[in-house]
Amino acid sequence: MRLNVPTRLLLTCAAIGAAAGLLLIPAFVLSTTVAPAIPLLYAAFAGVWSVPFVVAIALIRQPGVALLTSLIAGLVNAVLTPQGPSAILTCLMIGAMVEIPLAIGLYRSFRPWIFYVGAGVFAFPYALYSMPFLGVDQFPLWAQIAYPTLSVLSNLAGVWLGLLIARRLDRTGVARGLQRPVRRPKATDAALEPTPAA
Amino acid sequence: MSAATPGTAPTPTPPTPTPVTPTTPATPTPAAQTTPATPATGAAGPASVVRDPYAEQAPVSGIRFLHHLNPLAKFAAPLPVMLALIFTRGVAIPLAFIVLALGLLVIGARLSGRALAALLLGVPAAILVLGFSFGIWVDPARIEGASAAASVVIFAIGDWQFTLAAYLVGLATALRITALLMLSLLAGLTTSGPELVRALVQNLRVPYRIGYTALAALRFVPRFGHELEVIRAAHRVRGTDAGRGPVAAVRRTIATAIPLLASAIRHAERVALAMDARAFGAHATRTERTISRWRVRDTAFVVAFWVVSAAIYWWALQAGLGGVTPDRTEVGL
Repeated sequence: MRLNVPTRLLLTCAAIGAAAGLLLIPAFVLSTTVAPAIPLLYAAFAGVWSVPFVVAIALIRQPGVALLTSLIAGLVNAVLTPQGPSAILTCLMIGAMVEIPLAIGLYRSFRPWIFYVGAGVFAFPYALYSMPFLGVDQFPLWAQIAYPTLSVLSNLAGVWLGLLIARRLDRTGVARGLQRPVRRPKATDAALEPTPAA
Repeated sequence: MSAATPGTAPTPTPPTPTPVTPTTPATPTPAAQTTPATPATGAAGPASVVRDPYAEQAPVSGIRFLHHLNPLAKFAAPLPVMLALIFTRGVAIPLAFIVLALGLLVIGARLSGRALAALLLGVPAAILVLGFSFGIWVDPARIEGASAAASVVIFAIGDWQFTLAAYLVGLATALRITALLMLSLLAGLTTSGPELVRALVQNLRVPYRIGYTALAALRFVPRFGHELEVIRAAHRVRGTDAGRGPVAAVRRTIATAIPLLASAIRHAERVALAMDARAFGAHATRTERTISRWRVRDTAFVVAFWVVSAAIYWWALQAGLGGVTPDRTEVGL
């Protein structure tokens, strides 16, 4: 199978996945050690997992980057954690959640609201689906309301953090040459030549 | 910070890991250095500390059959069960799969003494504690007052009672989570990273450039860990890491994230250039030193596992020891 992606893009995705994973280790440790005692913390930390993929696609702005980063991050996790290949599926699922809202727009726009709407839309059904698994359906009503609410809020916070990091990283200029230039076409400049404004 | 720091930095990444890495020096596996250990399986890593994961693995005795299977078989066999467990209620079915997975691991996997102790002692202890911590949260109003377990009070604080029924509901959740973890350990504890990547590339036809990029990324992890230390030290020297509490922690994380990611991407660019210079990805296919095969025994293992799993589900549902729908929350007392 041929894969027409520059090696530089592949390794940049890998680097973002590895470095962001390193930064988020405190959050992962907290969520795996504290969350069993307080199941609501699972929901509060759910958004952390999507940060590397948001950074990757908001920085590079190429189709498929979030999925690619999640596949590589999953492979790295499959080796570094005792979970094995299941980590690949988990990461791919989160990567798809980031990727799909942008794919719906055919990757023409990478504006922040698309990320936020996508995160909210995916987080809510995922929270409802994971509730019976964690036994939250047996909890008091306030916990059953707090669980999906916290889940959506933490996913929005994850997008916020990812976009913030991507914006500041953009300013350092490290991804120049890989990035797709930002085009904001307006109805009034239909006759003009589209000029890439970075 | 952008340049490679000589002396302290880990060995430069060989662009195509499999054929280049020498077999003689015992390089520690990345797994031993940076595994964020989950509580139940903390001792999983050290078993493979001195092995070079890129070399041919040392022969394992015949009874340790999990090491002789294709990694994909070890993943495909429990996958349907892992999906079904998400929708499973009750205590019996997850417990049966925990026992099955433990049995397979104890017989079929080469484990260190610590890993074995963590599996056989740590897992039951973790289940009992988790059952308690999940049980506390159960709403007493949602437990049927008529059942026998609801009248058994384990302890009470004021008006609030912790009943056996609540503990059993919490225990069911704990068992579900543990069963899922144990089933994924079947592949996780007996597969090295390069083996998994080889199987994905050769048997599942994942593009090899992605697989080998992941292997290169594994070598990034210790290097970036060192870089992170340097950045933190630089911030500390300048006194820009002041403040306590979660808000300051988030701000500090963002402040270290930018230089770390920027230097990580620059490093990735250099590695990509080196790999391109050695014609990585010039051809559609790639020769492999170690061939990963799907053998008859892999098919046999997958089919046998599926048959046993189906039998467990059939038996438990027949006996009424738990359902697959949320309305059958009887725990079979």
